[in-house]
Amino acid sequence: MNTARLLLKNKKWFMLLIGLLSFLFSVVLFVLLVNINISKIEIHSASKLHNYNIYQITDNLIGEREIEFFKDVKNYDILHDFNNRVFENSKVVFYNAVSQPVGLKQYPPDKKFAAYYEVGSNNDLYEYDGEFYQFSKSMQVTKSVFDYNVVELMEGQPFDDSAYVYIAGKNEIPVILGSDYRQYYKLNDQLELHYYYEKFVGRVVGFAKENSFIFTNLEPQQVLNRYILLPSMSLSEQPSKLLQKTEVDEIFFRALLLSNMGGYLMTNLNALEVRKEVADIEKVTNFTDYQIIGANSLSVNLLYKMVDANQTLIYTISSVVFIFSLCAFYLFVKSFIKRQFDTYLVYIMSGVTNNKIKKTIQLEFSILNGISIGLALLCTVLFMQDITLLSILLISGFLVWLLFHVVVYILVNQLLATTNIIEKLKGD
Amino acid sequence: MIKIISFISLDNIVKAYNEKIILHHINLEIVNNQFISIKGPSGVGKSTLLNILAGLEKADSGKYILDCIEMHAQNLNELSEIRGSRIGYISQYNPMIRNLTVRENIVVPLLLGNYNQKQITAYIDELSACLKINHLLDKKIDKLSGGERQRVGVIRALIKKPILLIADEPTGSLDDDTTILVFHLFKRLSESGTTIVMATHSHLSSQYADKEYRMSPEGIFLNVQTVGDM
Repeated sequence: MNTARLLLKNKKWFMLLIGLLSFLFSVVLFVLLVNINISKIEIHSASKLHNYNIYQITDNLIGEREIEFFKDVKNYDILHDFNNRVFENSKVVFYNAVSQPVGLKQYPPDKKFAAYYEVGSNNDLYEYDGEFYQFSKSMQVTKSVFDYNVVELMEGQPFDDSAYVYIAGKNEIPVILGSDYRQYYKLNDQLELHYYYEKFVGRVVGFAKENSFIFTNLEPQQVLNRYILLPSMSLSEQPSKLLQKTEVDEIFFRALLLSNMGGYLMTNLNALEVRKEVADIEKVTNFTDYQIIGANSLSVNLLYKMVDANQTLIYTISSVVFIFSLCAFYLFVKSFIKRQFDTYLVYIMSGVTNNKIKKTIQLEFSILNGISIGLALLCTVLFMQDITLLSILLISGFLVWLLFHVVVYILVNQLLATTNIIEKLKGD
Repeated sequence: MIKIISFISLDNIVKAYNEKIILHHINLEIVNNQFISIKGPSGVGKSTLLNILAGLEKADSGKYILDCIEMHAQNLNELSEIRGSRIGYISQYNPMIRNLTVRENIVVPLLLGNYNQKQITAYIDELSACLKINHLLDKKIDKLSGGERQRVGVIRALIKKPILLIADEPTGSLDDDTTILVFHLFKRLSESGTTIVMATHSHLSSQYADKEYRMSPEGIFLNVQTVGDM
């Protein structure tokens, strides 16, 4: 007769149940831990924005006024100068994340990358210069976007400073792709882009982690999974000179200058002060076709409140799950030991020491919990596909194991006290 | 065959619970191969005395020698080892392991050591035939009545062929006919080398026990009208 099989026969379902409970508790705890970590990053990121007054700056060059303005090539230089001075002002941080579809020649078969997929449009394909492109979701971002959001890369490198500057003859732009692109492209792949009516080669320098998001003028949390990130480029010299040096169409510079014009000014200055600051730039550059929209911090505040509420919710859920699971574990183990009490009495009558029984029970649960927590850890890591938190998860897994061990230790010593055993044997 | 001689000596055994003295200077000498019966009112300390004899608990003071072993000098772990190898124990409460069959319950004491399965199977068959539960061996223990379970407990205590059998009310749930079967078996075992100390309320015990003791708050006294003395 197989001793182990015989001894397990009486308790296998209960052990399985406790193992399952331990597994589920650990999985929930690990997932919550991962979320707490994400939430901490989010709140850290949101709090950076939250500390500022935010103003939106935009141009008034609409329709005929735009055409009129750009008729004079000197105005390109004026706008360029204005943009540069705003950008370089030490009292404000210029933050620009513009959602601007870009034409992509080797577009993936999955339509979700198309710029207007979410609104149900089927007109994302177009022909240019005898070749087909697809309007693809793209985001032009200033360097400050990376400073004020946490966009971690699963692969590759962030844009270097030179990426944000357009120099004459430049026809390669570094791009960072959202995580969903990873199945189609790899690092250093060259994408043929149609960007502001010019052809560019987009070299893949990195892939953003899944569910990375940034704050934009339209969305407090714009998820980047399906996006192509392009650096928002300033011009290395005056547009009038660049126009002479290159064959690039002036419309490219116009689009670039206008897209660089609109954005957020994040500052500690109040509304009057920031207007004065920009008015000073206006005086120097002589560019007047702009407006500063009042302190519109609604979406940032919303973001901050959302993330804050999210974190509070996660902490609350974690605490509730933790207490519930601990109580459930306590009750299950107590019930298990009580159910097994007769078995232990038989062992004691047969010459097994009480200490040995206690140690055996503790060992059983240690192994059971160790396996359950280990499996939970493995499942969490595999599911999250993220090993950056492995050390935290390992430590918390060990702490959970230790906590369960303490619960078992207390219960075993409480329930299997010698006096309890003697009383029971006497039939009391 | 060499007979194993067991010898029990209790000298001034005292045991108290929560400052209430249960056993007050108990003295008892039992020679080997005897079937001893102890009677007395409930709460007088019979079970406590049997637990001390079985090495389940220790006396607060006094000396207990079993087969030349100074039991009073051993710790509980050592006493457990001695119990495992030499003592069979039938408790008043008769614990069984649920979900196991009768046969599986009987062999539990053997699971921790090596044993010859063939010999054990034969021995189980022999004992269960004696107590008329051989037809129940492969039944789940939960299906048995109280009396049947009590007989399983008796066989389990004997399965390791102990030199000392401690039996606390082994026939409490049995009718007279079955009680006689158990006492017959005990008598036979004592004749073949097992010393048996039994606490009982059964009026039949005096017909089978070699000596019958009566326990009272004042101590333990030999009842002169026992079979052994006749």
